[in-house]
Amino acid sequence: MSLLWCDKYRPKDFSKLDYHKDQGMALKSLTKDGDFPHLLVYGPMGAGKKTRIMCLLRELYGPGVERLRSEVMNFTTPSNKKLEISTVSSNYHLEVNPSDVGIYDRVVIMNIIKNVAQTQQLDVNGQKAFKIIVLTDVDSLTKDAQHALRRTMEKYIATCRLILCATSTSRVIPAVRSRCLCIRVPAPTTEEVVKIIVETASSEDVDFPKKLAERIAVMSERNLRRALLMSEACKVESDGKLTPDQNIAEADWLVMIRETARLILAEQSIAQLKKVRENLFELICRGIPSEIIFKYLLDQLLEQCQLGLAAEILENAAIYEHQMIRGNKEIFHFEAFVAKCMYLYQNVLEEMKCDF
Amino acid sequence: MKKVSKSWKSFDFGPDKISPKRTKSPNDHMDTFLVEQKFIAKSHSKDSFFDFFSDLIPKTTSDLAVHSKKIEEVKVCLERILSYDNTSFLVLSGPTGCGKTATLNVLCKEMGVSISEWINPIDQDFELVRGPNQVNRFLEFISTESNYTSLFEVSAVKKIVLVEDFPNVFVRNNSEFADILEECYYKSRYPIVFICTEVANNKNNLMYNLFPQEVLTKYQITHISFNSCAPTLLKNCLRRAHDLIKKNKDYFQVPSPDTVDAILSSSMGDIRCAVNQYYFASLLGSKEMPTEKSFRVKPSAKRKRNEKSCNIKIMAKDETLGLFHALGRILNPKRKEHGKSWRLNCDLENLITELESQPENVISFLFANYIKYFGDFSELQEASDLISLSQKFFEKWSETRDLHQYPLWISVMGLMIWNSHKVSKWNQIEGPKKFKKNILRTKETLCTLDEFYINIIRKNHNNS
Repeated sequence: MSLLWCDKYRPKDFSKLDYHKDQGMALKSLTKDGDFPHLLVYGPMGAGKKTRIMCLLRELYGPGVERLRSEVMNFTTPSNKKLEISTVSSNYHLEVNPSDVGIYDRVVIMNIIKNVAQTQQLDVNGQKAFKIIVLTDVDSLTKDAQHALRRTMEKYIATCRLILCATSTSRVIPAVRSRCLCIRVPAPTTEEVVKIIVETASSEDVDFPKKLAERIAVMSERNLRRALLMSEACKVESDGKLTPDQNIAEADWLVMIRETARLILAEQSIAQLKKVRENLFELICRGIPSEIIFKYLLDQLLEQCQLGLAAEILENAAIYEHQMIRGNKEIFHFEAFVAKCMYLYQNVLEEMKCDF
Repeated sequence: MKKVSKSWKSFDFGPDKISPKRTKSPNDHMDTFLVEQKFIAKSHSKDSFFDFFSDLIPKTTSDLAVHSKKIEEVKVCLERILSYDNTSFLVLSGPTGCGKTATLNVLCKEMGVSISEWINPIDQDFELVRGPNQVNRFLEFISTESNYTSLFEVSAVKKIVLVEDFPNVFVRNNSEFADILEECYYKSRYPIVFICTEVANNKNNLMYNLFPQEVLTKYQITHISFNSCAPTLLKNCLRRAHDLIKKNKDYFQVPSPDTVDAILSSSMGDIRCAVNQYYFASLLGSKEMPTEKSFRVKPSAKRKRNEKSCNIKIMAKDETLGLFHALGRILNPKRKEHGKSWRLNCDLENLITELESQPENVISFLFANYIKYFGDFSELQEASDLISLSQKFFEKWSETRDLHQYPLWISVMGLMIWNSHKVSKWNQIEGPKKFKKNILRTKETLCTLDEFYINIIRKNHNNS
């Protein structure tokens, strides 16, 4: 199977980065002494956080870090529940997303760090004295897990370094934030995205129209990974001939969210609410993060609803989104929000009828 | 805590006068009591006080307030286990007062089988003397002593061992019981019958703890489960009591039919409870029992209900609600007028306590079903808002359960108060949706959001 563009042309070295070059250099000099503090890398999706982390690892350990293997680790919770989590690791580092196991993430964090940290490197002179653990989606960790993290971070600093990866620091507890060097990776500008798409395409011997690249850059919301995937999808769908005004396929989940928003405004009834609930269930089951569903649903609602309800909808969205993040069971909050929107919309419609 | 007298064991039908025959065991353990149960049809002489309870003990299968099919099932099973050479086990389970023990006793009597029963010894001296512990004694009883026929039995060819009074250790320590079963399976000669009372709480549920499925299959244990007594059967039983009372008008008064109805409705299928209440009501000099008229159900064209249903105010058995029953109450709230306003016609405190053990589960169930029960959209909207609010308490990281009753209160009250246009048609209760997020982690950079594009690319690669 051939590699995807976004994997194939991913910069492997700080010198090959396409943007944020100063930051790249700063990171490079950080590792000059062969050591570095715990890192917290944050920034929007597709901005290149992982790329920079891999560059850093390569800088430290050489090309050996690219020999990756994925394995499934097993854990047992204190209540005897068996957990499975898949990890990606090389000889020098281990990458894991503890939030995959939901509320049991604390167990995973404690066990993994202990396992890695307690094994000393054999040849201290030949290698670094520490291993690296990369934890992704730190912002979706439970508070319990974050507190566990802060303890283990201090305890095992001699044998392991942590690189945390998050979309935003707002949900990382201050205690963890202060123990790390925070590095923000902003999304590339539209021009940078366009440039990268065109360059990548030309090294694949594809003549990519600039107009199309611009459209993709806007549509992907400066998410470079998605932009590259979109470009590649356009290429394979167009049978070799790319045109500037070509149709760019829209992700199915986005279509589904738009449809859901349409359903909400089309009819306000209990039966309709049920349909909306099923749609939302499916989206959640697909693994779309609930914050993203909420964001796009709100966007779509505001776009489609023309009755001057924007302020009220936004107000409610803020309330329910906050509740969703604080509590669990996303679907409850989605439904409450949808019901509220339907109710508001219905009221406005009825008032208008009375006016006539 | 531990009781040893016969009167305790047979409090199925209250205190009776038959003193238990205690056979001194061949070994010299004073405190292991082997109670040989005997049914003595008591012919009461004039001078002896008439004994209501002993006369009421069912003597034939037709007297039992248990469904005839169930009796047949137990009978067939008993015959089968008696015909085996080696040990076999039988487990009877059911709620309190549904006639488990009575059925067994009557059947054994009819089949000429004697029963020897284990009863927890009262060992007040235990702390001082440090005798063998209860488990060892239990084991000894079951594996050794039960193998000897009683000295008092003339020719008891067949015998079963009954365990109803489980040693208390087993309630906490289930594995120990499994060991004992293992040992008995090889040692004991007679079939062993266990009787377990089912309780709502899984923690104390002996059936659930001591006889899990793997144990049942391992030792080929037959399990017969009893349901609580049906109202018609209960009525028959009370009729028998009624006849008895009529014959002995010197000592008793005949309770009014209203009281009998009230007893029937408030005993919740528990014969023991019903008979005790009946006895109480029929005592000479006692006044009409205070009854509590419950909400008048309007006689509808479709269903014929009793025009009034009343419950006995005191001495009634606690009402136990299953999860589904409780869900029904919440989803179909009933209101009563209260001046110009209204109140919920429901004992909320009780309802919540009933559900407290599994708040998250209950709320999931409510969420899965509440939509169907609402008739008005604005009300639905308010209710869903409250359910959403209640979820705030189940914070992802909090495992402290102290707070968990508040979300329950919020969501239950929210649903009940806001639902006025309730939909009266029958709705099936659905289980909460179980879903698992399918997240892939591979070596490549993958994000579920971008999977769509990857699929397009891969599909085209495969085609070409």
